[in-house]
Amino acid sequence: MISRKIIIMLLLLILVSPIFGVVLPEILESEEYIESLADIVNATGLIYSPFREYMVPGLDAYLGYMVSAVFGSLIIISIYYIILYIMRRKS
Amino acid sequence: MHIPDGLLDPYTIIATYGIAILILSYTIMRYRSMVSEFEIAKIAGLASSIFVAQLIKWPVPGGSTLHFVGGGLAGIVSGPLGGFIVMATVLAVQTFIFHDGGITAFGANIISAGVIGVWCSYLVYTFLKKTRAPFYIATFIAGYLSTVLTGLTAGFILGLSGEILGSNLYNLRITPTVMFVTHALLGPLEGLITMGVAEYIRSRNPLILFEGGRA
Repeated sequence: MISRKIIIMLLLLILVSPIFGVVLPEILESEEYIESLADIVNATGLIYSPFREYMVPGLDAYLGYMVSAVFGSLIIISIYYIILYIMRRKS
Repeated sequence: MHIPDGLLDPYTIIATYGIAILILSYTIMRYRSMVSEFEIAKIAGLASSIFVAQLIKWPVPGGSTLHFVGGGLAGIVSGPLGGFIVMATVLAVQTFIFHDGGITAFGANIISAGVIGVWCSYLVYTFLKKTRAPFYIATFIAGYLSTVLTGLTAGFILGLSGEILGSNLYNLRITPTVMFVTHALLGPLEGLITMGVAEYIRSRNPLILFEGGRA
């Protein structure tokens, strides 16, 4: 269903994502404006997720970010595969 | 720009959830009649690409970072209904699995990125196409305005909530302005990516674009 070109593009983006998502913000000490607000008011999430903020337990931030990217995109593609499967069964 | 938990007041949470559920129901109802296997394959590729692209963040002056939003691209490639479904899927995975965006703010995030971002892009792109503006200009401006309005909407909702909560930290005087300025700075990059990807798709297979790019 997903073309080879999209998969190659996804893999390339996933490979470079930790540079922009983990390394650069750390070096430049930069943070999204809304996230900095949440830090100041000490806001906490409502449910517990082991993958909070694209971290994977037992992996460092860099690798965890890449694994999260793979995991997230697989979930999205699976959702649509399930929809497609249901559509095919109905017809 | 996802609003996290802990910043919105209960009234805003209920109102934004109500609006988001109404729009989601309406969209699914209308979209079901036009959906095909090709369309599902298209939005699956688009949603996973936008999810990964949003992980790439870049710093902007003032110690802040921003990331590609993608609502503009979704509106151009999949139209307002498909584009909304794409953004809602991305937001749902980000919120419920990675806590990027709060559960209480899910409605607000859907409104800003999914409704405003996608519809703004689609309407601007359609209007510019009708005025016979070149494709690359129409897609650039649609992507640019989409991200600015998405940020402004998130800033407005957050500011409104701050007013209700009596916050000095975020309110209608500060937050919409900050969000507008940072997203106006991000805008050209969002516009360029939107333009580049849309132009690439059009050069390869224009039929992938919503209504074959004739919108």
